[in-house]
Amino acid sequence: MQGWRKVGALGALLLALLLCGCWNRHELSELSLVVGMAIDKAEDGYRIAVQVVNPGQVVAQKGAGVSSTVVLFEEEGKTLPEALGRMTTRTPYPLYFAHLRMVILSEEVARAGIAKPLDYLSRNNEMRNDFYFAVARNSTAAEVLKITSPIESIPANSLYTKLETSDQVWAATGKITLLELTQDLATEGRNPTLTGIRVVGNKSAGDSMSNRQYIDPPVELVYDGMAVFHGDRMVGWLTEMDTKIMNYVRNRVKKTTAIQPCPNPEEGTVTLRVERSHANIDVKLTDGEPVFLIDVRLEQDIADMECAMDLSKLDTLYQVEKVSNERLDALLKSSIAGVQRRFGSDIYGLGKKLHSKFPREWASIDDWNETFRNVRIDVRGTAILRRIGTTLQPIDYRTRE
Amino acid sequence: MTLENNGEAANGPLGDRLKPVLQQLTAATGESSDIAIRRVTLDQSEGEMLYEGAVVFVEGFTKPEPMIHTLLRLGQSERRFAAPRELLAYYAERVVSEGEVMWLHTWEELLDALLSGHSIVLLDHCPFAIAVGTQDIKARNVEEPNVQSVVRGPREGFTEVLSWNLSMLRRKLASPEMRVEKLKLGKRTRTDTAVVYMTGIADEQVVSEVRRRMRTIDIDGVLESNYIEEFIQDEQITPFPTIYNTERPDTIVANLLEGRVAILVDGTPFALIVPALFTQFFQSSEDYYQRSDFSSLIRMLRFGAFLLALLTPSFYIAITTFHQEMLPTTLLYSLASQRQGVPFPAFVEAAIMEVTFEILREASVRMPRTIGQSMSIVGTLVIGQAAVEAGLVSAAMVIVVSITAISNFVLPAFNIGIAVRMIRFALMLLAASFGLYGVFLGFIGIMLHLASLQSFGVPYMAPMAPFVRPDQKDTLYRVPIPRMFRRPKSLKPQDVIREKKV
Repeated sequence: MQGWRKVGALGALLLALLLCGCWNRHELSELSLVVGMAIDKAEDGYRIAVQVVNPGQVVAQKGAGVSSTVVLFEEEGKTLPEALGRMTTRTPYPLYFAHLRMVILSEEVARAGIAKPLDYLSRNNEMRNDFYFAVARNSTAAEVLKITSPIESIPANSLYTKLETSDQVWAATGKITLLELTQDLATEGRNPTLTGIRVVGNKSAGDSMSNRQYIDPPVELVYDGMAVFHGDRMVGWLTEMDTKIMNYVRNRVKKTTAIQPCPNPEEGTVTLRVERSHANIDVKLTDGEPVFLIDVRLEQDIADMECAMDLSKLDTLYQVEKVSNERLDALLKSSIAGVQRRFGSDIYGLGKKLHSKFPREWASIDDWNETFRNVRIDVRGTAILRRIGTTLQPIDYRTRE
Repeated sequence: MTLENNGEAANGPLGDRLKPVLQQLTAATGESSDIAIRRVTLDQSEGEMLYEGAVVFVEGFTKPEPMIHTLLRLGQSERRFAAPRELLAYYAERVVSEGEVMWLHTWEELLDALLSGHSIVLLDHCPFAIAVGTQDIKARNVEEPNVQSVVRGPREGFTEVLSWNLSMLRRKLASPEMRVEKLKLGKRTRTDTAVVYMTGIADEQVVSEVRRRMRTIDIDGVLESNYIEEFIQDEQITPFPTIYNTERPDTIVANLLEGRVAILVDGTPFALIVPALFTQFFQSSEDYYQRSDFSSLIRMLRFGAFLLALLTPSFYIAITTFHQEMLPTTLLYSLASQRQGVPFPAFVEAAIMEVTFEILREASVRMPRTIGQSMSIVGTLVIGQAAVEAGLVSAAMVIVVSITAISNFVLPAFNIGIAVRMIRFALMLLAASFGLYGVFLGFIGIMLHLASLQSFGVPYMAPMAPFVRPDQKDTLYRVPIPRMFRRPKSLKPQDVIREKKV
């Protein structure tokens, strides 16, 4: 008797479970997997393009290569969700955003302000926040997604991995996720930057799988510099060196390469591999005015040596180190001063430091970015030489004379 | 006709005269043709003293010839007897060379002895009979166990004969503390069963509980130990076995030494062990015959395989239909491309494959050995290649089903595997309707259920829940044997110390 009661209670519980149903159930094959999204300006609102994967073509099997690995759908709407909703009139299955890798913004959208389109991306529960942003430099955003990629069969994936590797070893790009971008936007005293992407070659050749059949593809996508924002509006472009310096200061450099001339510049250059970098921002008040000290410490190895120097001598190494130091100092100084002068946008996060250290003084500042233009910034670069590689002397050190 | 239905004769004393006894005997057995009655006449002193007698036995079951020979020789001897009873007594005590002799006074005893393979010697004018143990057991020899095979370790397994099985135990465990209590079960089969335990080690309460439950069994036939298992197990409504069974004498001895109680049943090589704990079903006797480091790894592998066998299909269903965001992107493409063109939802696909596999497995167990090979070819082709090529199922699903099936066979105890097979389908259903939420709900339910089980007063999940620290030495891992100083505490043995601390 007791047993039957239990069974009955259990049955009732199980029935209650059914109330919630399978509302969010999708079969895997009935999803349009979105990997890339491009946001362009339209006359009234936005023009959205999504790059959707065609899984059958991605997984190489017999007969692969007949159709393209991805398909681009474009639609206009007053807002992002409206455009995406209208897009279902074109896509075979509901769009699925959990595997979104890249969001490309056109320069026009970036200059008009990115806060509005970002709202949908951060509000949507399906989106993760690990996809990267880029700003199209010389094309519309949709055009970027229309270009096939060599080797990696999904263009958006190629963009993603390309950005990751270059960020890891070159440091002149920036992999900015939605989370970092929204944090930068919401932080007073720090402005966001987004990496730029450039179409190199014949644009119209990209939109065909035949672009993948060349050894030297007629069109490629290349990351180039970073877009500087003032608030949510883009104000200009950073050069490669400015980007690198900015990444040093914001502690985003994993590894990179630095060059410096030989003591006798005619001999050539020394290439140094930066293995570790750490930056520290400090702020002091002098006569009520904030004075910043940016301290960048690098640890580097010798990667390439063209000079006639005897590396077995400690003095030589100190000499190399000294040149590095001076060069780093000079680069930091000129680049930061240039950003101050040209953009007046605090992409380094100095204001945030001031805010947390001297909240009272911070409160008295009306427009931080205006103040930033003229604030005094001291820099101190310290480069330490760690290893010289697996050979001691340059190959032709003895025979050069 | 049962003994009880035989009326007064059933329990009454045997009569004096031979003729009515034999008549009654034929009536009681319904003149069954396998009951042989051999009439003998012992003619002493050339017809002066005639002793009418009979030897009754079951044909084929016994080998009465040597005994009949000695009986007839007795008739020719010089020795004179005052009465038939003296002759029978003399015969029983001085002549019979067979091991076992029983004195029979009642009908019940007589029928019991006759039907269990004894030869019955009856004499006219004698109020009792004797039963001589002339059984000629036709049984399988001691062979290597089929189900629980080992790479290293004893290769003998139990047979269908209880006495041989008990002798195997005795040979391994030459201790007077090993106690054997015999009990006949089954009103009609009168099957011999034996409760074996170590006095001084086994918990007295468990032993008496086993006795009590065994005595309450009221059944007419016991053909296998499962007949008893289902009577004495703690919980009926559970997929999990709460009694362990084995056909390995070494396993039984090891368990007796840990303080468990074994139940052996005549007619089956499978003996029962109680109390049985959850972790025991992950232990193989070989764990103790290989080095402890290796055994520990293998044991963890088994727990892993248990989870795989239980959860793989449901995880696959849940993740591919509800949580696509959890899949690595490239895996997602590959799965999605495989699923293109598959007409069924993932759950139906999984159910088809799992059921097909269960059918194949059942068929391969039941089918005649000779067609096994052709069967397995059909199975591989149907379940694997052809189903994928025909677009009925995706290749990934075949992998899921295969890993599930293989993992299932890693479990050393067959009956825990059965539990896994049954629960798997319930979890798949939950996964198909609620995703991982449902899977975890189901898993928590299983955990609660496991924690509620008991086996002969010992919590089923011991030594994990309740947590018994010293018993961890033989749970997820096995420490070297010289470090196993104590017997499992969960079983409450009377003598905890197993060996001297080194």
